[in-house]
Order: sequence, then structure tokens, then C-alpha cells
Amino acid sequence: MEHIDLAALQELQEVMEDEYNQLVETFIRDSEQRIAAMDEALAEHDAEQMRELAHSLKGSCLNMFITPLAHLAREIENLARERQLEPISPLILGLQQEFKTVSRLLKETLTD
Amino acid sequence: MAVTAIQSEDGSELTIRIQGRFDFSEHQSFRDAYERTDKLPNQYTIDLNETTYLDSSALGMLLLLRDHAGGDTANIRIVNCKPDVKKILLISNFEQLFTIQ
Amino acid sequence: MELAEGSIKILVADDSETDRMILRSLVLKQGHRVVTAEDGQQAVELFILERPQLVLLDVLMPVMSGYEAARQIKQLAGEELVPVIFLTSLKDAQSLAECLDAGGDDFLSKPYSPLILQAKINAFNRMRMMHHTLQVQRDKIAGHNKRLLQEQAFAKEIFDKVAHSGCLNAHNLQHLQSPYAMFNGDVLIAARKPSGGMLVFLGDFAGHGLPAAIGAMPLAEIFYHMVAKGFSMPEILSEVNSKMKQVLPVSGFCCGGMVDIDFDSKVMKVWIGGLPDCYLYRTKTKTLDVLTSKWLPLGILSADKFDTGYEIIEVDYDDRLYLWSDGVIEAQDDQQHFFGEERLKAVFTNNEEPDQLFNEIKESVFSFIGEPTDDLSMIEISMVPRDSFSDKPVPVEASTIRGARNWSASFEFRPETLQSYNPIPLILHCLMQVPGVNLHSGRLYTILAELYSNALEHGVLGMDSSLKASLHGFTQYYAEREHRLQQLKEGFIRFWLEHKIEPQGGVLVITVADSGPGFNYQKMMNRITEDTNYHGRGVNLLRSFCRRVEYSEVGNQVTIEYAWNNELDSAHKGHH
Repeated sequence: MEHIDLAALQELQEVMEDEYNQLVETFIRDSEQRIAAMDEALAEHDAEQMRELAHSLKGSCLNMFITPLAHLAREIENLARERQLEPISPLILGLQQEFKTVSRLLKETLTD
Repeated sequence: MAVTAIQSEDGSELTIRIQGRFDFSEHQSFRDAYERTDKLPNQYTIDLNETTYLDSSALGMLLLLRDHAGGDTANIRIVNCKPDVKKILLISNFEQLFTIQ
Repeated sequence: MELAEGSIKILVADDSETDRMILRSLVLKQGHRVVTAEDGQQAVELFILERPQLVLLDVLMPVMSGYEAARQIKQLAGEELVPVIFLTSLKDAQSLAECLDAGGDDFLSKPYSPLILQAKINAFNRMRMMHHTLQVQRDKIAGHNKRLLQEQAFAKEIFDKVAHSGCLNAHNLQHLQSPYAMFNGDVLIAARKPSGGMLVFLGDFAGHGLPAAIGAMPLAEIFYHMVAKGFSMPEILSEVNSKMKQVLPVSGFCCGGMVDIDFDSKVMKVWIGGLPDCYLYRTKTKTLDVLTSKWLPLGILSADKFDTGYEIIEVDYDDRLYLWSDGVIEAQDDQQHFFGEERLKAVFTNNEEPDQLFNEIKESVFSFIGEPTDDLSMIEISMVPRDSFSDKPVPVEASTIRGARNWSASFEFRPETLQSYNPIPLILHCLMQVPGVNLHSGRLYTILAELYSNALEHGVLGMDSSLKASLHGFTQYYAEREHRLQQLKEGFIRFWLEHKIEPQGGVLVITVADSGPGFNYQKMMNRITEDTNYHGRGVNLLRSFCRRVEYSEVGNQVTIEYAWNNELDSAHKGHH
């Protein structure tokens, strides 16, 4: 599966017009903060915090047509709801990896 | 509930048939039935064979028709009344104004 | 209030800035205005401040959840429909159900589809406007209804003054009529006649509501005025009919029954035009006479075609006549069955105490339909002795003109007039021109009526008063009187009226002469004190009221002197 549905993103870009760059930057900044906070929640065994962060990340990713990352976030959200933090650890690594790729791809869509 | 009007071929007689309850809700259609004639008939027949009920507004409508058809010179027959319907007409002594058969 | 279909103000609440930005742009792009909130608390505050017409709410937000925000917003919106659409990627049934419980109207799932968003905004906006229209119309109707009730109360006040000035509360009457029955077109009026009798009318205008009610006013006015002035029942019916014909639309008419009660001779004269069968209950024999409607309702025939007939019914004390609107036999239970004549008659069959009949009918109808109804009027008229009434006679209205005090006048009435015209109201009207004399109108009416009927019946028509003496002779007597009257070719009755002032009042001298052969008044005057029969009573009556009663010529001329003063009571003393 593509990291980002670029065709759909193209349409969103048209809707956002001048605000598109700001949207991408906001998404990247917010997601970085969320992923960092998820790391902390894992360390502090805070399943509820983990679930909320994963839920928010999932929502934003869906809206940005970043489906694989959204799926990972959903997996983490589901596990956190079941209070199973153990299997989340490797998933967060995957999440960070995927986010790097997505960030790079997103930045390529920015206009001058 | 329905009001139907049939005018004879030569236009001289208009038969108005009322199905169901004959009350204020039929006011407009009853009026239309006798007002929308090309030629003024000289004989009106009101067929109440399928009329189940008659109220005082219906009596009022009959008076309107009578007025329309010339008042005291109007020639209006009311036919095929069920007993209940006929009773209402007779209580008001409408046989003095209409030919009730 | 923003109502343009194109553009509305939409509140977007989402804690994720990315999502907020996207939704904001989508909504703006579709031509709406947007206010944004980052949590539930802000959303509620912004709602109060900005009054958006539609709310897009994220479910999971810090400070206050979307559920709670939705609840508060719905409450703040009150009766106005503010659609709340939840933004969600939640898929489980429990969460969706919770959204609806909180007052949510719909969901929008991520990623947002501009097409679906647009469709939802448009659909809810239409619904919102429809709701608004409904509410405006509802308020309008409620306002109209309130005004209508106020107007009805106002109209009722006027109507009550006109309609209830009579004697519906007399002890021989029992009636049933809801306070607002006039708005069903029912009218129930009763009045004492100057001669001591009573006239009762129960009417039921065709149709319902104000159009039906409106005719009751002129009807009641005419009724009371004419009764007070001493007009007879046929004259009143004829006048009412003409008035109704004149004021009502062609399709309008008034079914009714009028009863003229003579307590002296125990006779009821009954006219029924369009009312259902009325019942006369003869208490002694426990039998029911059914009186059917024989005449057309009022307001249909022109004056020249109107038939002023009536039935004369001789009754006994305690006999009861019932008049009712069709609301009684047409009262319906919840299965739409009519109360009907059989149930009505059964009440009479099962009755043991005649005084309870009226209540039994009422209860029988009400228990049949399950509740009291507005659409029902009825009256029970009992025959009672005249002296059971303790009320003072109601004086005819005083003339507003400062009237004639010293005058004389004369009238001559000839056959064509005698046949169809009752001159008593005219003469009484003449006498009422004297200021202060109106207190005596009842007595003067009685005197005039007595003088006139003697002159007409025994004088001009040559009727033998002994006919009346037989117990059941009244009907016969009246039939004969009518017959002779219609055959009348010649004859006259003359009235001379003269009024002179006296201290504290005056004296009326009335002379009546007729074309008849006269009678041996000396003989009659001699035996008058022992005679208690009806036919002798007339002269007794005259003597008890008048200072002087003198017959002259061959007995076809009589002169009376009526002295009056300004206080009826002191005048009264002399006679009783």
C-alpha cells in the first residue's frame, strides 16, 4: 500500500489552497509531538494516554489520506484499549519508521 | 367521499350523486357540481343512494343549490334517500322546498 | 436569525489542529462561515457567543468531551433545531449509540468527503429551516388561538348580556347548555310575557363556530324586545324568520322550537321547525307525547311564505315538555354509535321520580358518550300554577323621549287588520310615551289584551264565552275563533285613549267599542262576584286593576279608568 494516497492529497491541496503548507507543517509537528508522547506513555505504562494519542493520530492520518500510518495507530489504539502495552513497543518503532517516510513525502508536496 | 355530476345530453337535467358523508367538507365540490354547467338545467336530481350521512351544512348546501336554480321556482328532486338521511330532511321539513322521493 | 439557505454559520470543534484546519477549509469552500473550538468547553462557550446554526463536534476532546458539549448545546438551543454532527472515526455500536443519546443528529467519518459533508450540511439546513418554519407557524397558531379565546370571551360577555336577560332560571325551567354553546350556534332564551305567561325558544343554527353563533344575537334581541312589548308567538316567529332570512347567508338557517306557555289555562302553544322530535311527558298518566317538527327552520322562507302556525296542547300541572338540539340523539360514543331515540325513550320508561327526569336524561347522555359535551342544548318546561311565580313583572323599557302627559288618541281597527294584526303592542307603545307609566306595563298589557279579546271574540266574532268554560274546550274555541276571523267581512273595534296628569302620576281612560250586538251587562255585573270561571274572570281582572269599569250602549262599549302613580308597589296595595 502506498504511504500516502497522493491523488486524494492533491484534492485536499486544492481545497486548502494557501493554507496547505501550514496544514502539512501542523500535521508533521503535531504528529511528532504525539509519537514522542506515546513513547513516554509506554515508559509510564499509561494505557489510557496511549489510547487517546493513538486515536488522535489515527484521525489526522485518515484525514490526510496517510492510510498505513493510520492503520498502525489504530492497532496501537486497539491494544491500548485492551491494556496490552507489551506488543505496542515494536509497533511504535514501526510507527516512527513510517512517519519518517511520510514526513519526507509530505515535504515534497509543499509549494514555494 | 365524492361528488359526481352528470348532465343529460340536451343539458336539461343535471344529476348530482354524493357518495359517503355529505357534510361541510363537500362544500366546494358540491358547488362546483352545479356551477360548472354550460347550460342552466331546468331539472336537478340529487341522488343520495350512496350517501350515508347528512348534516346541517349539507342542508345549507341544498339551499344554495335551490337559490342557484331559481329559489321558489327551482325544480329539484332528491332521490334514493336512505331512511336515516330521509329523516334528517324531513325533520327540517325540506319536503316543502324539494321533491323528496 | 440566519435563514438564507446558501450560507450558515457552522461551529467546528476538534482538538486536533490538522483535522480542524481541514474541516474549516472544506466548510468555507462550500460557502459557509466557520467558528472553531479546540475542546468541548470552548465549543459550548462559542455556541453561546456566536449562535451557529450547525455544529460539527469531535467526540474525544480534552476538558469536555463531545458528548457533554452536545448535551449542553442542545439544551441551550431550546426549541430551535441546531443539528449536531459528530466527527468520528469510532466504529463500534456502543460509541455511536452514545453519540445519539447525547443528542447527536448524525455522524461524519474521517477522512472527510467534501461531497458527503456538503450533502449533510444541506440536508440538515433544510430540516432546520423546516423546523423553524413549523415553530413560527405553531407560535402563530398559538397566538391566533389565544386571541380567538380572548375574542370569544369578549363575545360571550356581550352575548350573555343580550341572551341571558330573560328568565331561564325560572323555577319551572331546567336547562342544559355549556357556557360556550353559543359557539356551536346553540341559543336558549326564555322570557316572561307582560300578561304573565312565558315564551321559551331553543335554537340550533346550521354549521358551527362563529358563523353559526353570529345569528343568535339579533335573534335574542328581537325575541326579548317583542316578548316584552307583548307581541304574540306567531308575530315573534315571523319577525325572527324575516330577520334571519335577511342577515344569514342563503345556506344558513336556524332550527328551533318556540313554546308559548299560558299558566292560567294550562295551554302550551308549540312551534317546532327543524328540531328533532320533542317530548311531552304527562306525569299523571306517565305517557309520552311525541311532537314532531312541522315547520321549516327559521331564515329559509321569505316573509310572505312563512307559515306562523303552531300546535295547541292542553296539559296539566307538573307535565313537562322537552326541547333539545340534535346533539342529544346524535351524541356519539367512542365507537361512533348515536345515543338515539330508543335510549332517550328508555329514560322516560325507567323514570320513577318525574323531578329527576331532566337529570336522568343528562346523565344517560353523558355516561353514553363518556364526557360532557359542548354540542348539546336542552330544556325542560314544566306547567306550574301562575301564582307559583313570585317575581315582579318586568317593565317595558321606558320611552327615551320625554313624553306626552296630557293627550288623547283614537284608533279604529277593521276586518283586514283584525285578521292578521295584533294591535296591542302598538297601543301599549303609545301608552309608554307617558313618562313613568312603564312600571305599569304588565298590568296595562293585561287590561288592553282583555279589552281587545272581549271586543274581538265576543263582540265582533260573536263567540259564546261559555265554550271556553268546558275543560277541554280551549282547542275547539281557538279553532272556531280562527275560522270566524278568516270569514270576517265587516266589523270594527275602536279604542279611545286619554291621559291626564294627577299628583304623583296620572290617569288613563280607555274606551273600547266594537261592532258586535253587545250583551246584558247588568245581569253579568250582578253575578260577577261569585263567578270563578275563566270566562267571567276577564271582567274581574279588569275591576281589580281599574278604578272604574263601565259598560255602556248595548253592552258593546266599555270604559275603564286606570290611575297610576310613580311607585308600582303602592299602586299594588289597593288591589290585593
